[in-house]
Amino acid sequence: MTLLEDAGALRTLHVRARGWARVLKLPFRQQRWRGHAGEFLGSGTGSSLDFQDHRLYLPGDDPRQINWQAYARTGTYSMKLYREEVRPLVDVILDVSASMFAFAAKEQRALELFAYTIESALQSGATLRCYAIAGAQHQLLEPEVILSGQWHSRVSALIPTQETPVLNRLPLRAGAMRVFISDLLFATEPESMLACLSTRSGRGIVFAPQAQEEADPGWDGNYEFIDPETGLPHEHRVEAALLQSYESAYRRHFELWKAAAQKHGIALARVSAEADFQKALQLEGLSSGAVETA
Amino acid sequence: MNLTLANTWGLWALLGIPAVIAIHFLQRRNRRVPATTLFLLQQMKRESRTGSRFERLRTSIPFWLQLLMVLLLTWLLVQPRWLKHDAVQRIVIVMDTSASMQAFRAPALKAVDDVLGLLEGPLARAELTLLSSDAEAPSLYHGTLAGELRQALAQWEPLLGVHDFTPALRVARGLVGQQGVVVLITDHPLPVPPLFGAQVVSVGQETDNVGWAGVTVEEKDGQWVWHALVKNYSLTAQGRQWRAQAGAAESPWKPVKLGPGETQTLSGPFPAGEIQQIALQLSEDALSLDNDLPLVRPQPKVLSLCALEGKVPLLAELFSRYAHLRMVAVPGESDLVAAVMTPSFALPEQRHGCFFQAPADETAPYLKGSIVAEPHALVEGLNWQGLLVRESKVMPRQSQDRVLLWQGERPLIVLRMMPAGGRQLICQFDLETSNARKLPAFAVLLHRFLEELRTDKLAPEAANFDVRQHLVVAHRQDAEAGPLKLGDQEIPLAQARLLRAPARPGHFTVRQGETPLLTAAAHFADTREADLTQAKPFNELDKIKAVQIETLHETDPNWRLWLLILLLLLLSSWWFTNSRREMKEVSRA
Repeated sequence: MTLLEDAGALRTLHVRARGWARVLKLPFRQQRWRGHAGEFLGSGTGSSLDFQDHRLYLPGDDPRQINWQAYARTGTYSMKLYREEVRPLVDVILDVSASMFAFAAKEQRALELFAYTIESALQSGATLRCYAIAGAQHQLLEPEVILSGQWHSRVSALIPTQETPVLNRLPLRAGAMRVFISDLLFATEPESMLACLSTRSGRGIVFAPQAQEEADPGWDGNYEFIDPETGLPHEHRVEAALLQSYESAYRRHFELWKAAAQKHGIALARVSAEADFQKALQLEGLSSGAVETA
Repeated sequence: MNLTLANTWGLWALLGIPAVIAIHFLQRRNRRVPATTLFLLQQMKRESRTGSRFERLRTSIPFWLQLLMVLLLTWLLVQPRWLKHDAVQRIVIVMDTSASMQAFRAPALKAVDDVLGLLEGPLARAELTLLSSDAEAPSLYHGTLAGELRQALAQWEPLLGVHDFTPALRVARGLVGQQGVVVLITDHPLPVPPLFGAQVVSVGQETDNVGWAGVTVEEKDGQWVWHALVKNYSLTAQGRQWRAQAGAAESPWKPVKLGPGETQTLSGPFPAGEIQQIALQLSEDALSLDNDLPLVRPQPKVLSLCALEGKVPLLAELFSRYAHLRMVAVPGESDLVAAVMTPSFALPEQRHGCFFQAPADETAPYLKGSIVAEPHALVEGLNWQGLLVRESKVMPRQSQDRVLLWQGERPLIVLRMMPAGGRQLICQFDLETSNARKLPAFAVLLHRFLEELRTDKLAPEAANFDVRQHLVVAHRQDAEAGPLKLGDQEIPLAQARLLRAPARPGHFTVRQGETPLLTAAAHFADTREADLTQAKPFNELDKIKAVQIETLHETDPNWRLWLLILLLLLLSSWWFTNSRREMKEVSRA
């Protein structure tokens, strides 16, 4: 039984994720938010204590907000505007392609990132919406289902596919923080995918779990590589020169993703599957702005 | 460079090459691993294409080291030898001259070729000798050329009976010394290894054979009749055909069927008339020697005897019982005179005679004392203990007398050899009062005496012999006598005592000048040689090759160096394998 199928283990993972979320948070403070009343400053006027501006009274305004002192001085109704405090919107997209769960460590790290993101969003009072995506298919995962650890059945309903996740079909909310958890091991150009995360005032964050088997596979000799998406074997002979080329191509692949992420203002953090979760997340998460300290 | 492998079994070590390849294939066979970055690999597909398996192995240093190790190990195991510069190959091939080899002549020639095929290249000098196993026969070939030796094989005629190979092998070993090779080519494996380090190559094969196994000719009612034995030596029933040939006339072929090991007797009369020679023939099979049975109508020499006796004709009656003896009245015309001794009787010294005493007094007592026979061919094996002889006067002994039989101190029978050649048997008893006529020993003694005389008689005779049977032919030996002639072959008188019947079946004559002495037929009837069921193939060519290599070659002087290199390769292979593993582990760390 894999970790994904073990509801008890997933719940335990969420307990640990709460601890991580208390140390490292999603970067809610780096953005003005729209939405329901909450704890974070919104982009509009609200009922917080923070003064924002004055403006003339317009019919329909709340008469309680009329600045009577100003009316006494000027005889004109003016309104005193305060900063709005809202609950941020967080859309979490979990890439459930088979490559995410190809290696045990990587599976663990991917589910840890997912649990961390959920817990961090919940602790921030964000309005959470989660999707599991596989190619053109996606499945909405309710927070309560996620917290119960019984979302494997939802994911398994998605037909395994080799296709690149089609993010533009997701009903991502405008102005939401869009956290995409994926290993980014797609043959497509990163631009189109990352653009979806930043459209409509979205704040894109990408957590990319990576396994040593991918970054430094140490291949030497004849291999029958099994494509986790299709289960089909592919014979290759890997020698030192080819391995070197592969490692170079692997690095170049993520450099392209990072460049594209930077272009779209998306924080991209690659999280190693081998190191401790917090250390691994801090390593690129803080520098890229994907997380911030509490 | 003339390279020879002393231990070709060592080539099996080359199987290590596929073993090493297999091991490397096993080590390097496709490992199944999940790969999430296949699209990256497929971008480099041309670089990582699957090549041939040998291309895959090319870059593995331990692989090549191990292959080199296998080759070196093979080199050491096969024990390579180089021909010495001063090597002389001495080979003596001893051909079994037994008649049974007639059936395996072609395989024997091939075996000689095989042995000669063991000769090394032109760098080695060869000394080749071809002998027959007949130690008395001259060598067939001695020289340096294999081709000439093959030609000399034409002179090899296996016609002997069973004989001991040891004398020929002794001669062979003496010719080649301890370093040389002695090869005995025969048709059956020897029960014990031959002496003098000879190697055996048996070319025989169990073969069916039916042949004449013997013949007797007897005269019955004035008609000569032959009785020939035909024997099936095979383990299975055989059918053959036979016929008789007399002069130009031939009888039709008649079938004869014989069970396994069965012997049948075929009989027939000699044809009437002047035809003296006939031949019996069997249809051809593997051994042709025993398929012909030549015969002559026997014509023994006839002795003439003149009996000089008193009133009672005991002598004539006594000698008339012996075959081929003719009684004549005139002593001068006889070959032999039988007489009762009288004081006045004297026979010429060159004449043969058989003498008895005059009848003794019937009241005289019988002689007492034990009867003892001297060791002589005439009395050998005869029992004289029943001889009763009355006392009588004994003739004085002469210097040329040889006593054959004693009773006590008294000689009973004396053989007198006259200087002129006469041979006289003197019996110191009379026939009337003694019981000698009833005694078998006495009859045999007279028969032997008559046969000796018959043998020495110069007269033509006809008889049947086995092939190579010793012939005793009476002939003139005076200074003017010419040599004997056996067919066209001239036999000096000095070698006449070595005269033998021809080795091949056939009719033959012995003459002295124009005088015919013997008309005869020689037939093959050696049942041991005709039995081909014991022939079996056997081959010691490998041993011969080993001996050749051992004596003519020198070992690889660098074998210690190869061994050291082998060890270094082993260590290097181990080091490369381990260092590679460690490098992987370090890179992973």
